[in-house]
Amino acid sequence: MLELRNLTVHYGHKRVVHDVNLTLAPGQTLGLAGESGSGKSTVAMSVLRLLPRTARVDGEILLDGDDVQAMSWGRLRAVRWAAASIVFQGAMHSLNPVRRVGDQIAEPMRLHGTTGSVRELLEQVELPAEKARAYPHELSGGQRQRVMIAMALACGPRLVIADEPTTALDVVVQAQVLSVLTRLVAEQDLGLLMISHDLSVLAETCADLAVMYRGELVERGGTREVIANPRHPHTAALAAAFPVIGDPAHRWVEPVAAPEPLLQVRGLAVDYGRARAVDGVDLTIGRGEIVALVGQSGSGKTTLARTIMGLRKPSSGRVIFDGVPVPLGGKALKAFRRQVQLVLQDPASALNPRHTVLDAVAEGLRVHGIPGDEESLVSAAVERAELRPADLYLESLPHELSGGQQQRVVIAGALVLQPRLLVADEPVASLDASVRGEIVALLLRLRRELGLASLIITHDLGLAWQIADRVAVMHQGKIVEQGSVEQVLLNPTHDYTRALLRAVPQV
Amino acid sequence: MSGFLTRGTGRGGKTGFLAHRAGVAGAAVLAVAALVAVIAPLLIPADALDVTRVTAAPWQSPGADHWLGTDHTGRSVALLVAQGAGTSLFVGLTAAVLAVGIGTLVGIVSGHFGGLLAGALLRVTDFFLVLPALVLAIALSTVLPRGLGTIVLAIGLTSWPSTARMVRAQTLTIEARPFVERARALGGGHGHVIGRHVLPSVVPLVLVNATLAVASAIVAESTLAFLGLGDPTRISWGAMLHQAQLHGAVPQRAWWFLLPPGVAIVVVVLAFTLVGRALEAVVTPKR
Repeated sequence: MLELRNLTVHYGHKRVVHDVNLTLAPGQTLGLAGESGSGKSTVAMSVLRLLPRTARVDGEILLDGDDVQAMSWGRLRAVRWAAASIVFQGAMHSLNPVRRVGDQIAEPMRLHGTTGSVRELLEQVELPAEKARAYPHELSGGQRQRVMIAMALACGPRLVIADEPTTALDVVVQAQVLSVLTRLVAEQDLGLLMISHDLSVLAETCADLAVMYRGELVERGGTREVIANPRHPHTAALAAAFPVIGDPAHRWVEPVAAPEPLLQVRGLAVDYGRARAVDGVDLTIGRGEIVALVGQSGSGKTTLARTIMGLRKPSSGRVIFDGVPVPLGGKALKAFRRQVQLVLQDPASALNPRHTVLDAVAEGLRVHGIPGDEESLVSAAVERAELRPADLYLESLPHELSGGQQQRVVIAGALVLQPRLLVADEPVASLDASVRGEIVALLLRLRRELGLASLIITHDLGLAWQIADRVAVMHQGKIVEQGSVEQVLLNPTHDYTRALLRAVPQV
Repeated sequence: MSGFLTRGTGRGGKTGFLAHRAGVAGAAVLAVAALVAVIAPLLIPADALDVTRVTAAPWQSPGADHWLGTDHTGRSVALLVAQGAGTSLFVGLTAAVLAVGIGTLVGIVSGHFGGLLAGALLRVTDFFLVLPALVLAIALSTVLPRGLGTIVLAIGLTSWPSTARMVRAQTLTIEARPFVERARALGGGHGHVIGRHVLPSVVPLVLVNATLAVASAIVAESTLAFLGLGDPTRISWGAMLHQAQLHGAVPQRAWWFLLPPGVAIVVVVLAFTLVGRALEAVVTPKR
């Protein structure tokens, strides 16, 4: 049904896809894995000729035997959506915010003059028919992504291309969306080309797997075989990057003896207007201990972290750091902030695009007026964060660095103040698989060498298994279960923890 | 700002200032106007502009002696236009700096602090925004003592609200970015966040806005002077039009007294606008 022959794509002189050959038969499901920049999305977009004008495409793209490159404009329009359709990545950006989702689902049917019922399509993706009258912002992330799937099926295509359909969703919602997608593909005998950086997601949905690396297709085969016996080192790296919960080989943290408490949270509650985001939380982090705070988006875990850092005022309860209650303002709060540092999820936005690495890392020193040679302090912190030699990076601007390097700069900016606790909000969620492992290892090394304690906020239970001593599970503002990693993740006692664990895709 | 003039070729072609021909032309015109404004008072003898000492006949049409003819008192229109450039540019620039300064301050303060203070500042901004600026300027220049300072004040006080609105919007988008949260978590206070993060990203926009504000300030100055509310002791393009109208240039068919100051206003305002638009395109690359 779909055949790519020697597909090569250039942007200017840069070759982003090189000599890719792929075939997809009707009813076949193929996962295309790779890191950002590997060219996987370019391959997907080329199928419907959706690449920007600046792209030069060589080779053949045959859709049901017709070369997409050679099609007339009218023929191409007829083929788009009716023969093959796309589920785009960010449902929030791909839906028009000022039109009802029902109208948007009906739009391709109107354009192609096909008949069909929005109600039926919504039922297929397990949404109630009334949601047709909703605007995108009235739906949750998972519902929006299901609307995107309904839209892709509107004209009865035989091939569906899904570009990172679940990347922005948390595990539970991801599992729901994936199950809808797999069921529909099986029921309607569709061909599915699914793109993701996450091998475990592809393993859940696709029978076959292809791996791209630097624009080339390096491996292709049955999903099970490829993951079990990877032939290319990059495939092995991708597979290793997603920890298997319960596998001792993926547990990187060395156990520590029960440490004395560094940070204690006592009966903390935070309100947003009338809504209670954090509801009576008790949590202790010991000296040099790594605690993972897990939960779905909206569970209140980020609010809890912000409050611990003194960025929000609690409605009631206290935070005690090193035996002293955390002050709510003034000089004392500023001094406290030297001790506790924040690492944010997306390093690209956590760094001011106008500031060099030197400025970004030195920011904390300047704020606190720390004496000493600024440049040598910054260099030391940058090297601690494993950007060596530091001189090479000090004058760089964030956009000149890769995602992993940016995250190291953020970490260096925290380290330069010699903190005792690091609060990291999804520290690896926006990083590529191979970089993810390096950052996890860095956090563990910092703990070993500096005795740095961490509170890791994540929805990724695998990360908790990899890095944490203890886990606290948060649900609707409350901590429903906490204890050692082995105890909570292997023998969960709370229903919600079990539900979370069930939703984790298995490789 | 190193690549400001000739930034490399991006997706939309060259993005540096030099790539915008209209902007470069505008900048060239402004350079000439500024040069004239600076050297005219030095080169023109005081006698030539003194009504009591000029020797030429009034209402002469353009010729070899007087390129642009003479006015109702016999002064050379060409010299008057050259002399007037200084006043118009001075008022335009200082009024724009005043307006943009107030606007930036109000915008950043209301965007950064929020709450009651922002509410109050925004209502004041709205008040000035809906007030007809020209009427307010006329009222102010009638009440206050006559002089250049009054004109600058009148224009400055009436044209800051749009800058304030724009700066506030930009401040809000910057404040929502994670790197500001990071700065706060590092222990940075208000001064740090404003000085290191908000201001540097607002300044380019403010500069663009200032260039455009100069253009409208020059028009406003000309309007006030034309209505006879300017500084009577100084020659400006608007004041020349006022004189021309007052002393009957139209019945005299003395087009040479009306056209040159009018054209000068149009050319300089257009030049500022072109430069402003080009700067805008450079500072905010389209994505």
